[in-house]
Amino acid sequence: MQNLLKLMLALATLNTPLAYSQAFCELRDPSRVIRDLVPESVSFNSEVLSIDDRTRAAIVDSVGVTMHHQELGYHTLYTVWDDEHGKLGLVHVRPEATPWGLMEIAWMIDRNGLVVDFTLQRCRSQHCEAMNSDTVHAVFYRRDLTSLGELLHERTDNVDRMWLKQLGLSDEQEPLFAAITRSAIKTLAVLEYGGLIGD
Amino acid sequence: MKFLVPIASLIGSVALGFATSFAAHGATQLTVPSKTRYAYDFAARLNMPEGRASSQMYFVGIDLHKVISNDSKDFATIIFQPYWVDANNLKPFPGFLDNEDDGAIQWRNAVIDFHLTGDRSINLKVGHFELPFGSESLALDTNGTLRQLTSNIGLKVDWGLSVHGDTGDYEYEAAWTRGSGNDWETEGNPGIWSGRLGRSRYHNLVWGLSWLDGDFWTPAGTIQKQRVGADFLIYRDRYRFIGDFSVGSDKDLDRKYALLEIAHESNDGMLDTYAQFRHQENELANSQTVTSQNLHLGVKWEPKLGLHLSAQWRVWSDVEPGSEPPELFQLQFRKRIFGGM
Repeated sequence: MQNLLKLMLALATLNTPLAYSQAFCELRDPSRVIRDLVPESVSFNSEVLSIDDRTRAAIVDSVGVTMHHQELGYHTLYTVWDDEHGKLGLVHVRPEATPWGLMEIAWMIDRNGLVVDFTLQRCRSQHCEAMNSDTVHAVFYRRDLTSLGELLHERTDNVDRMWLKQLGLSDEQEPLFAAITRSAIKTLAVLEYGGLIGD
Repeated sequence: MKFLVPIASLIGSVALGFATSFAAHGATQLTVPSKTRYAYDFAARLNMPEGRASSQMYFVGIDLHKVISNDSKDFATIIFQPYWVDANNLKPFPGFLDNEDDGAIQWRNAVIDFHLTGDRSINLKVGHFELPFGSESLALDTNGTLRQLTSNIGLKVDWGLSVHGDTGDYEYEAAWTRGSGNDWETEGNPGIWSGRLGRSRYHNLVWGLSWLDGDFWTPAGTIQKQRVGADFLIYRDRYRFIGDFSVGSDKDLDRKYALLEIAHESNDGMLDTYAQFRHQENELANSQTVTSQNLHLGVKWEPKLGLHLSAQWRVWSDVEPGSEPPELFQLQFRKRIFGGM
């Protein structure tokens, strides 16, 4: 018994760069949001992406947005299909820390790596509804990684206030819009970094 | 000594996993997408009941998740979670242990989930899985945690099969299981039907209706149990509210159960604090009703992903004298080491 305890303590001191918190039985495929984002889809298949500390550092260096520890580990990427056109694109769900707790944002990315749309799988703030306006969704439509960067202030990873004014968002709503923007950037960065865009 | 063989096997697997993990770490930044993820899972738990000797539990297990697919569709998902559990002076001890100092394999989930439709509206699950009953079905992580949502049915995971899925705003699951828990037992022909129909878990207001009817296996013979229940889950800012209510019977004796939980999560979800209140009313053979209530406070902190530090304190318990100590303090240290292939 003492040996078993020692083994566990020894393992605890090891640096484990890849991690994902919850037990795997709690994982659920986002079939509902896939139906919302891609109503014409008939099926999807999944793959697992790993993001370690060094991957995170490379992405943060290249796109200039922070990634918190919850974003490390294994994340699922869904390829969405229909009978007529074949592969329609990719769906990726990312968590994002906000003042109202973790927000889960699902992104639909087309085969060319452009944003099609997003949906909020989990959003706990009273301002969530404001993020579902057509104008907010339109801001992200068909943006690539470079043009998504234009939404941020040139020296910080805060949203350029010009966009808040244009969209009629209040200061209180800014953290949610900023979280969605950062999530979009990180989604495309992860896909591009992994060479996952295209056929 | 009988636990040395499986532990040696697990340690061998751990060593193999370290070798592959370190090799992968040195080679690729963003690895080639894979279909399999695994975690080596280690935990040590200390139980300190008021007025009684403390006890310890140790857990060593594997958590495996594998998807089987072709180019355009996932056909099935395999989840395999065998754990070796070793107890020291654990009173009372769970049914899969022979005594308070025993060790044994604990099956958490061990299922093949066949995705019968491309949109996941119909799936068939076969193996060992959590009963679709009450708030336990809300997909909040209670796997190997101090915090539990299991109600008074006396069973959390069982061998059997279930049909489940979601259709837009609603999700459902209906299961037949053996009724014997960790081990497959047939004496007395036990078996349970259970199910839950509810609003999709992705809403900020989730509710569900559950039912359960069947014969539960025990060493002393089967016990017929019936329940109907309702549960809810509300997310509001960083708070989470859970309610779970059921009524029914054990051997035709009335049972009533209620759980209320309020929890607070940190911005990044790494620190969870909660309070749980349980109320039960159990009818006795002499028609008297015994009421019991307790209050748990708890915290789960994840200072870095995969490292879980948890504490739970039963600060108050109003039960029949001698049945359980009023106070119970528990600590758990848990480490999950991950890989993919």
